[in-house]
Amino acid sequence: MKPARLFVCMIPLLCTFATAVEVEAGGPPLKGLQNANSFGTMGTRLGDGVLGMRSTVNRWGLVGPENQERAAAPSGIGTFPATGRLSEQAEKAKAALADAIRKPPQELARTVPLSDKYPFFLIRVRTSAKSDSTLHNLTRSLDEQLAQRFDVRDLKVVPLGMADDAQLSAAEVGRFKRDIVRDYRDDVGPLARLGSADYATEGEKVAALAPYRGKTVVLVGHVPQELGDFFVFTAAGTRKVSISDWMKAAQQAEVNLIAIGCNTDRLAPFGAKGVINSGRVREQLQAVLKDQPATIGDFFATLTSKDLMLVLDPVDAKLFSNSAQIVERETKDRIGFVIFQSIRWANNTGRPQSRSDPVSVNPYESCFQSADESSFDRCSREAKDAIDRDTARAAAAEGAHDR
Amino acid sequence: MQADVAEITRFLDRFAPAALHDLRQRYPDAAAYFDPSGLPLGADANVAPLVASARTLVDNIDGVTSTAMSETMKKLKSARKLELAASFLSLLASSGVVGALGLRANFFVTAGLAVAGFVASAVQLYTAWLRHAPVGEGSIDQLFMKLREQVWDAASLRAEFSRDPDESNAPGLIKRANDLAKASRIVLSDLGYDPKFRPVR
Repeated sequence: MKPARLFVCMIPLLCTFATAVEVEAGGPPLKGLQNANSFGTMGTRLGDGVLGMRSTVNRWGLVGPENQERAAAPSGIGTFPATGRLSEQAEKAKAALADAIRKPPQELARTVPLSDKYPFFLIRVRTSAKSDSTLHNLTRSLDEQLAQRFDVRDLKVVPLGMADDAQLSAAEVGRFKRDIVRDYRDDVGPLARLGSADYATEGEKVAALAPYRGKTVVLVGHVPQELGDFFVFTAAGTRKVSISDWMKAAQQAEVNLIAIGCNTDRLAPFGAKGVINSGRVREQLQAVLKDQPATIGDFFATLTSKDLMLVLDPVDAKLFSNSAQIVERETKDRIGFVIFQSIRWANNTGRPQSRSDPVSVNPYESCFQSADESSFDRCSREAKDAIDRDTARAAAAEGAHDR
Repeated sequence: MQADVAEITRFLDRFAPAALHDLRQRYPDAAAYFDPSGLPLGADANVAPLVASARTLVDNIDGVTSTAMSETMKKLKSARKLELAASFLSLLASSGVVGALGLRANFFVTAGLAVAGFVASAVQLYTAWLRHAPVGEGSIDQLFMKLREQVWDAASLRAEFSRDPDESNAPGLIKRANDLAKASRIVLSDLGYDPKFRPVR
């Protein structure tokens, strides 16, 4: 029987690594895995069952340029792959909702809970019953994504300016540093220096976000009414941070950016509703770290509360995961998905590390433990070089295999 | 508008928790303003809860600072009485020494005068301690003066709130109330009042 060729596309929720995996059911041995120095140990779970898979994934989960094109890139609910029945429904729903939602903004004020299970995780809706039914279809696809794996190690918290008063703000940032341990904070990365002039353009922002790819970054800050946006304290005073610009860059860089400040749902496609208190945010984040939610849905269920409601714009928001959708190559039908549960990435030599090795989820991970910003930059440059080398090596291996 | 009420919330939580509880009951949707565990991360267009918290502050700060003033006044009065006693003792001791130089005083008179001089010095030390603020370098006389000014500020703020029924000046008044709450909390802390300190009704 001619093996059905499938390829795996990434499902857009909280993805640690953008992935497109070409699989061949019942095909030859996993040559791709050998050549592509990909997974050390990869815990996979097949949603609908897929047999042997031939992967062209390099250790970054990135396919070579030609495959990237075919895989059509991972996406969020906004660009859910138009494959398979459910995806088609979601795509139609999205288009219909987009038409509806682009109309008068005052009608966008209404929000409803995503479901009974997530009473404080809201989605923005219009008042008409038509769009409600459209949303119903859309949320079906969201439900599926919320069931995907979540690893708390992918979480980074970045406290920004917490109050107009610098001393008050510093005291509150200190409380965050006291309650959120270093592993889950970003003190040295680009997001910890949002006011820097180095990230003026969108391209610079996207490049700066590379180390966060697939991570969930929670920005917590004060949004003064007269400023209407986040701000940070710099040596020259306060500096405005355009959260919408960073959100756009984050979507390109496949980073989940959750902006938590008062009424940030008005600034970004994914933000907090109403007036919130930093103390509550701290408590909820501590609960997340304590409970270690296993799925994205559990993460949002734990993070949100009566005092911290998150609003998702179902049209513009994108969520990324480290799960991969498996679709039939010819028909584009979705036949299952793969969840990378315990990926151990190879080291820089390309060899998988043993289980006993203290490995990190990705080469950038250790950079977040850098002592200062310059060390972080040096570390991230080295990581990027390693990734580029591996990607080139994987592409060469893939070319050799095709020949 | 600039409407930070974090200091008001802290003040009420520490010195008038019942009033803060009432605010939470009256404005359940604005609970984020009235949570002392953190800071409100912005403000809403609805200014009513903020105005209410500022009004609650000026209504309560009077009682709190008045009680603090009466407590401080007791300390000051004690200090002044002791200072007077110490001055008398000191006068007695020094005049006795002068007398002893000219006359042949017996041992017990001389010893008694020396003890009086010693006690006078000890009492003066104690009164200096009483006048010194428990925290910082200031004296309780200075803190008392600050409390008196704050009572005055609270009274004038209350009057301005009553003259602003349409709340057109609310942002400025709320900011002043917030600053007042911060200043008052610092003074009360410097005076060493227990966090459970409650105003006398």
